Amino acid sequence: MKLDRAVLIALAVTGLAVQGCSVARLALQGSVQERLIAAERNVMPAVVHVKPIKEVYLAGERRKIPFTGSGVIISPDGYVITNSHVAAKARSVKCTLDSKEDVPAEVVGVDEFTDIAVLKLDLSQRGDEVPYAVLGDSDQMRVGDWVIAMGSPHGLSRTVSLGIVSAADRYLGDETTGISPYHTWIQTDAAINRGNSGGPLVNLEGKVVGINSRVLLGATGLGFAIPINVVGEIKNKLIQSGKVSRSWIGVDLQEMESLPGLEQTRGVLVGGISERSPALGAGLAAGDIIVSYDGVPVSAKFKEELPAINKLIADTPIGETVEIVALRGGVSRTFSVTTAAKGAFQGEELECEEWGLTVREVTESMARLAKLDRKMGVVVSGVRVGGPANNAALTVGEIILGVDGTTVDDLESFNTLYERITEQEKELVLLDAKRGPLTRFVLLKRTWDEEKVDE
Amino acid sequence: MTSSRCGTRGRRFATSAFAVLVAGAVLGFGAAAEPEGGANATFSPEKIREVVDRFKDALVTVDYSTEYYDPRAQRNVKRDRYCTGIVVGGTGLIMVRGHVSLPDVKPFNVRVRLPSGEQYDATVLEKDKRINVAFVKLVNRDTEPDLPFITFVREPSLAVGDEIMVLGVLPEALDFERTFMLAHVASVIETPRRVFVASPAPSFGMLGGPVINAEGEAVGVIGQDLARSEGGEIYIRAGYALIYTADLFQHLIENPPTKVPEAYLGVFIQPLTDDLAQYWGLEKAGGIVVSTLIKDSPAERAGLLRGDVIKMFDGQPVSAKEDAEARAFMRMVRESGVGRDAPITLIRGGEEMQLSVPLEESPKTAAEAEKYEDKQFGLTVREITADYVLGADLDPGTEGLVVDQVERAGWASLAGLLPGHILRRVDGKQVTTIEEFKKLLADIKERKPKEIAVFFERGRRTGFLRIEPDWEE
Repeated sequence: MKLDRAVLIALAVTGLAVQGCSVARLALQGSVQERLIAAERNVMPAVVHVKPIKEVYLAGERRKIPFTGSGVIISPDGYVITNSHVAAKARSVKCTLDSKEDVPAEVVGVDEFTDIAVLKLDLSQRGDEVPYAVLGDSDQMRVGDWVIAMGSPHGLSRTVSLGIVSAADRYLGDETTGISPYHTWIQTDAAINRGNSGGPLVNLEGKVVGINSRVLLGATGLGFAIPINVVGEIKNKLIQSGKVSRSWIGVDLQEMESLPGLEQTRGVLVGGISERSPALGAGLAAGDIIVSYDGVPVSAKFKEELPAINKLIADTPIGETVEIVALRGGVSRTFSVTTAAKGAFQGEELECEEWGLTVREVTESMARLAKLDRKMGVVVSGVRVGGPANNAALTVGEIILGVDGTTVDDLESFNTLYERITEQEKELVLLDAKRGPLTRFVLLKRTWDEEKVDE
Repeated sequence: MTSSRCGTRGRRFATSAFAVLVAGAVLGFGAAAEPEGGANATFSPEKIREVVDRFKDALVTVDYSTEYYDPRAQRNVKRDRYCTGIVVGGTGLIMVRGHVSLPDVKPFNVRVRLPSGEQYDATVLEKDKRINVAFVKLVNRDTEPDLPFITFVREPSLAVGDEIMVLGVLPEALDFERTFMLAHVASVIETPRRVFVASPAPSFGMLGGPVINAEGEAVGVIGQDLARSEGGEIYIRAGYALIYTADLFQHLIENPPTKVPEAYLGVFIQPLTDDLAQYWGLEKAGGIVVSTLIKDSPAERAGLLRGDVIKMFDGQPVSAKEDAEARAFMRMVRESGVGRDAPITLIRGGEEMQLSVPLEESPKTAAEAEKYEDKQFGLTVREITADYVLGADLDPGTEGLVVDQVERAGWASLAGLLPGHILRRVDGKQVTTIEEFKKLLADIKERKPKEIAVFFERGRRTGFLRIEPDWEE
């Protein structure tokens, strides 16, 4: 845990890989040099430079920013895999193909927990099939295997770099950090930079084995790709329904190594239980050792084995009741847990221009962290310099629980209140704000607007 | 006998402060040169010499050492320091800048160096919270000399434009020679208490030095407010040299501060600004708005509610419209004494009403909390105090021990324990008091287990980790 906290992971925004329907597959034999060139020629025609225009909320205002990343076409009709941090919040996306043509694309879906997004190229103006890459089997990758990364580092499209698999199952954190609770990573020393995000990591067979997504800030030759076997399943769900639903029971799992004397015991340690969670309701407690979940034996001696168990739980159909067998004080007990839906990674955002602030939905986990009795309120995500909220010293992170004496239930009710109040052109608006255990009254006062003054 | 050793230690410190101090010395002499130009008549060269002669033997330097925790280095750091002091009483009472004694950094190895170079052991007295000055007292009455001391004017008056003289001590490189500077009173700062700003700004050697008026009387000292992290009130004012006039500290010279229990209500407050008053339809006359009510506090028991506007406390009207005035109210509560009830007049829902609140002693703070350091485990733990419960947003009434420090590469640190980890169970046992913890560690040291399980809480999550002691170490 300590290591994970110290590790600063940066997102590398980038590109793609392909093997073509229209591209003749080259022979994958001969010397490493020949195979490298063949692999590049097989995949590069399917690599795209992804150029989304994002709508972001910065310093209390909604703004548009251009972004650059990479992606890889995986079907002749133009489905593209990229990172969610490339495609999320995009108002529009253009992809530059290997042919240097710009093609508009739509965002089919994003999954922030795995950092995967699917785009669909709009080929209506082109009327043609596009070259696509073939997905490989990431489980077969061994440390030392040659891999090539493709994409648009710093916007330099059609860049290829070479390296080896440096680690096949790198563990980069857990649910609290929001970093990949459900999978481990392929680590490579192939040069990966900002702009490479979303691009393919390709093996010597010319197949995509990973999606390049992260680098370690301040380090050299430490890039991380999402194994393509993780991507395949997410991709299918995104194409089917535009989102990935997951189950949640509210246990923080720890590897068995965390406790003395358990080296020989198979199972996974419960380090903690979330408030208002199915696991708490079912009677599970910190210190329990889960040995089976829904009839499937589970075991994590080392932390690298945790993501698979997290995924097993997440993949349970939402609302299904499962049996969990756990050891407590050496005695086996069975708990019946009905899973709940895993909440959003991050809530929706809203700009309140008149008040000079942006707010974000309070998610379930945020509500628990803030010790709210239920999911309620909105959290201040930005404050515009010179605006009423800024003048009233409202700060990012404060939770607004009420407006003019009315309780704020969610983003929608906040928006309704905001619109009604701004329509009335009230001089003063009172917010009930909370930070940690402290609450306070924040009075917004309309600022003088020169443009609205009659000469 | 100790003077040569102390000198060496002092010199080490002096190197780091050298640039600042030399700059200050130059400033001082620069200012002194001014009257000779004839531009200024208040302090003639004769008068300056007379003032310096009269006060210089009451100026001393105080050498001391401090130890504090550096969270980045994960270890305690020790530093030698010194400052200017003024002898203010014939009983060996010396006034110094308040930074000598901070809540988290207690001075030790305190010695007073007289103009002759002789050094005497001294001790730091309790510190008053209202004004950032500290007092040290010589400890050995048998050997200490009779010291000349400075008497301050009882009710000094300063105004913008007044010319003043500030006396101070040069750094060790300049043999701790006495020096002075001329300055003008440039500004008056009214809240939270009236202090003055001098121009040019006094330099380091002048901090803690006396301020002399045109009549040649001592009217105050050069001080510096504390940063909020040091227990001060206003963060942004830290670091500015201010003139504290004698009315702010004279009572402390006469009755050196002792520990007085402070009262608390258990509320967080904000001022009733005119805008808030307008919004609520109240008179724009200021007041104290209860913004947060702490559970199980005297205020809650007395029936106060969030949103109440306090107008009178303990017979005194309160009319805060600004943050500084709200802070003055908090001070008023702290200093109102404990063990009785205080009447409160407040406005709730537009109606005036009366309540009576019990004045209880403010709970212990983290700085006052009992700590225990175990060198073998490389771990210092601290009782969880009420302020920590609030700061970390723990459940009200949470008791137990929290990791205060870990030693770098010590057993605790290697296991992953960090400052802020709350120890819920150690070796399977609940530990809530320092005593229990000491006993448990003693027992563990007896048994010498290969591994020790720790169940911790941090940031609303719990988890396990294990300490692997190296008993052979």
